[in-house]
Amino acid sequence: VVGPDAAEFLHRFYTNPLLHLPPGRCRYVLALKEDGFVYDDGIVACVEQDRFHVTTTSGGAPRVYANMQDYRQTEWPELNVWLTPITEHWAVIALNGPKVRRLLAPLIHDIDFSDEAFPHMSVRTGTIFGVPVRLFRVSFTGEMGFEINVPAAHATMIWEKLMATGASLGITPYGLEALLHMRAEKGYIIVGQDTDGSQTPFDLGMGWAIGKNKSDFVGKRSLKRPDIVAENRPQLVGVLTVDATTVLEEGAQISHINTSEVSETPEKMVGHVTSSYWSTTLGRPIALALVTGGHALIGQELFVPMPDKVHPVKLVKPAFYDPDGERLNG
Amino acid sequence: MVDSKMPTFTRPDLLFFHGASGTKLSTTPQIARFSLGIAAKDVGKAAGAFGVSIPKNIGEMIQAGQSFALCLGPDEYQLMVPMALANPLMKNFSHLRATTPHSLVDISYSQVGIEVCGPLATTIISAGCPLDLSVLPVGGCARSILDKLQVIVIKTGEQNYQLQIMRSFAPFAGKLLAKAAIQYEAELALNSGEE
Repeated sequence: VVGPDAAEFLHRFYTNPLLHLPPGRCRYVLALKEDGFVYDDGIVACVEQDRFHVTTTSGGAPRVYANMQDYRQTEWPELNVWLTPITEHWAVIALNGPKVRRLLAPLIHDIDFSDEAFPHMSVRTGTIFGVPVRLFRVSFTGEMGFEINVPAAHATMIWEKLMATGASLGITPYGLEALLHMRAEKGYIIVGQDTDGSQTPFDLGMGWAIGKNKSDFVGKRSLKRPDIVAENRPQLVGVLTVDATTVLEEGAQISHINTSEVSETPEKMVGHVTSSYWSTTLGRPIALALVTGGHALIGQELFVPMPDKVHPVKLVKPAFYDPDGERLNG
Repeated sequence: MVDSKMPTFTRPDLLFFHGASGTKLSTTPQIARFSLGIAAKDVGKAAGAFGVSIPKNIGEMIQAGQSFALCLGPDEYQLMVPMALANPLMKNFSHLRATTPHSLVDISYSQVGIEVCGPLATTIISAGCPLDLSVLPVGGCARSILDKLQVIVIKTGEQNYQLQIMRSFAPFAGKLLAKAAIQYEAELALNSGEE
């Protein structure tokens, strides 16, 4: 997103304050539809003044791009800003773990990797193995992490060189499943898995992502609608099975009563499990769920009917590991 | 830097089909590509920075040596130059920033070029592209689809086209064109065999 009005455009498009995002800094952003519901998230990075590198949830780029063009062309044609899809130009390699800087710093001489010069949520440009790199210090795993953007034709070469150079540090590839586990342990949502297009930022515990002093952004007015400010909306919580061994099914329903006891009247389900994994790190299962009035129910026991039996569960805050984010600093 | 482990159709300068009637399908050399966003009224200033005229009408292309300027939309242009000219181009446009709002974005690797040459060129591309390519003038360009893929068609001669395909879809496009070429070459051989 490039042009003299790029910052203003993004400031109107996302919930977050972006007008004064300085060159070199990144921000995690939420995108709402006009009805106030979250439909995408991502990172806005200010590469240099008037030039922003924007990422979306997996598979979301074409949809967000189309939406951005819609607003640019029909709502805000007065803004001097242009949008260019760059999904195919950059290949991105995520590198995470406490030893990340030990591997990367010697390979990229033109970037200062100290915390002062390159804090978490920043972007720098440089060269790696002779190839230009746009380096983001961002993390979806919760570990100290970098996303290494190189022109797509060089991706294989860069990957193989990182694997070879990192062998002595115990580098290993990790797959999607491992990533899903790690992000869930941190309570990082996946739009489209932990959301279904009917959650506001408040439902997700992310009211902090809304700029308090913003006069307007897409979806802002809808956040005042009666059903949006109502009590007892479905809200994102963490769920722990009391037996600490059962992995709940994603999609499993949640009830206030033990539904194995025969009831004359149908019992209302008050939520469902959105993500569920066995956490190797914690040695127990964890899950995320949307539960009616969930924020106020944290600490309480509810029930999840599963094919074998009804399982008692406890609602907790949706952050199971390293809640203060210390591991982001390595 | 050519990586031999790249998927076949993303390797530059690769002749991947050669037919009896003279059909040639090849990937083009790696070039620098830029997406330029600028108001139509300011195109003249961009041309100054580019060093080559930039066309004002959608579907027009201007070629000077190995540099191309395409007008793809009301305020959307694609500039293509040899790799060695990329940095000077970006430097020239950076001088424009102070006076003229615009967007110049490096998209060099987002597309792969596929060249289709020979007497069957139009027929082969038409197997996937719904445009009436006989109406596309030599020296013209059009954004269209090839089967399900987005494509930029550049007509450099009556029997000579350059297609710009998004990188991930280059294998699909290459195989589609090759299959069409095989079929049409075979039909040509069959028909001439009947005479």
